[in-house]
Amino acid sequence: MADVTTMRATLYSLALACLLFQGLPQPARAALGGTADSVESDRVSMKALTRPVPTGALRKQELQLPSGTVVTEYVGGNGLVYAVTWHGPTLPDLQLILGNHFADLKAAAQQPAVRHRLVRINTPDIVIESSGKMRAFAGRAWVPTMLPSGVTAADIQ
Amino acid sequence: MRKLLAGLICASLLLAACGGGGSTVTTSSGGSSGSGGSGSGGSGSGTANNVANAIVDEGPAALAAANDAAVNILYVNVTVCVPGSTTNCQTIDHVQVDTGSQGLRIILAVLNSTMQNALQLVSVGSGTLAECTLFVDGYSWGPIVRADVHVGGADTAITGESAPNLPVQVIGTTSYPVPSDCASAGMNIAENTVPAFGANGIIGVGLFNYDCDTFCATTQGVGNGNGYYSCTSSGCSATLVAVASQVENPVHAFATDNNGAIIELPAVGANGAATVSGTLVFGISTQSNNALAGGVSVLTTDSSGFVTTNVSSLNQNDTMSYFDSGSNAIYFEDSNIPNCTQSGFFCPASPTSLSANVTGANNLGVMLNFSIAAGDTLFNANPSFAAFSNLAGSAGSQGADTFAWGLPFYYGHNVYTAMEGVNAGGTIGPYFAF
Repeated sequence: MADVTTMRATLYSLALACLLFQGLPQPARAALGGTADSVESDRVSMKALTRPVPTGALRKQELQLPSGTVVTEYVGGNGLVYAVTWHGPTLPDLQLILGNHFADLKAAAQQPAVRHRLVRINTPDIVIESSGKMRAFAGRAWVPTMLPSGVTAADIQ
Repeated sequence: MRKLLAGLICASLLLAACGGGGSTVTTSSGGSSGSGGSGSGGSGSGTANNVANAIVDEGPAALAAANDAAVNILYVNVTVCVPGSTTNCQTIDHVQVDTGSQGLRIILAVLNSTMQNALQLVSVGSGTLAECTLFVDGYSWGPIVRADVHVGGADTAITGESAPNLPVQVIGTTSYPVPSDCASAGMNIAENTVPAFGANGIIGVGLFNYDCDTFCATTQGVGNGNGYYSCTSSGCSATLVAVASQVENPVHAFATDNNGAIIELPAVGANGAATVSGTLVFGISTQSNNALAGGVSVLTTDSSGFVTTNVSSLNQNDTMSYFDSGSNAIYFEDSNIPNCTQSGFFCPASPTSLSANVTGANNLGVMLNFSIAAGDTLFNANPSFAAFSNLAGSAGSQGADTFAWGLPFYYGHNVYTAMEGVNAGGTIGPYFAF
């Protein structure tokens, strides 16, 4: 969000993050770029129900979170998750579903000018778009180099 | 991002603030007034009980100090008092007006020590009620207190509209650590200070009565970051909470003029303005100064508060569309327009005019025209300006379905936000009208 936070605030949040995550078991990260098996670990971590998805050109797995938010993970022919979307009344655990790319989103969120409603990053390696307001969030992310042949951004909804 | 000339801005702020209602656009920091906007209502003076003076300027001094002056953020004064008291009060300036959220939230450090000590915490079970408020770019964390909230009237007094004993979030507590699921969903980016938040507080006057409502009063809304927590000396855990204890839209709590609000701002020229002053008017068709004027288009929303926008040149339905004074630009997807290199906005090679059809849940469609200029050019030409009517940015790539009609749309339009479940000028909310 704001491009400049005070050093003290930054250090505080870093310290806090260490405090919170230290010692917690690290679940096998599903996440963007991971294997389809990791969808199951996401389901467990987020206490989600899987929801059947009509078969079609795209192989995907929907996770229904207790909050009502739906997370959809897109799985390529190689068994890897190449895209993920979310929409619903709350944000999902973005660290979990974005995996290593969470850091990219966090960096984008700290860019100047745009406050509160929108974060996006668009590079050759990763595209992440997160938007919304209180009670209605939506977002999607994909790895462009992993998109199966014939799949475009417009297919990731 | 933007340099601030602190002294000059203070001068223009004072001039604008002393305008006493009506609407003003200052095009130089010396305070000369431009012409009023075509769509500006100028209804009622700033001392009417249901009218709050509203200003777009570079924000609280802390933003300037962080070299992050505000752009297109609308602020009002809000007075908070210890419940029942008319003297134990504090007026807070630069509280952001947000039609995209519900409820009053104040940064802890802004409250003086008297108020910090006097405002009583709200309990839930055996703990203290606290909230994780999620934004897409971070989270705000802090407890809920009760305060008598006054806004409008003379702006610095307990006149105006009153929301007694209102649950209000105080952001930035150090008493309780941030729950891990709050931080995780909020990207570990805390928005708990004035520079990080962009305002001294936020007054959410959106479409809904409470920030979470029945969702957080049932087990479904417990946990997952966004929501309420019960805090004790041993930490905080997610909890369900009765609606009556939740952060409440102040408009819903007013005794009168409680069916919505109108933001009335003058038009702003193509180069922007140093400051803009207008009004936040409470109630819709409840007084002579807030009638739902003839010719106004009423677009009801779906249950999430969305309408649909279709940009003519793109022919794509953006089903997550909303009118949002809390967005500082018009955000949508348009791969035909390049992004800026310096700022996060669109930078078309030359100013671009677009049209879009906006359709409500009531199937009423309205064609709106808007223009986009290069953000970097606007900022570099007038580094001290705070208001730009032609600022837009990307909400994503092909297939994105967000269209946020942010504050630039509000310049030159009177925009009505009518609340859920109540009659506002003949139509039951929630709706947007302009």
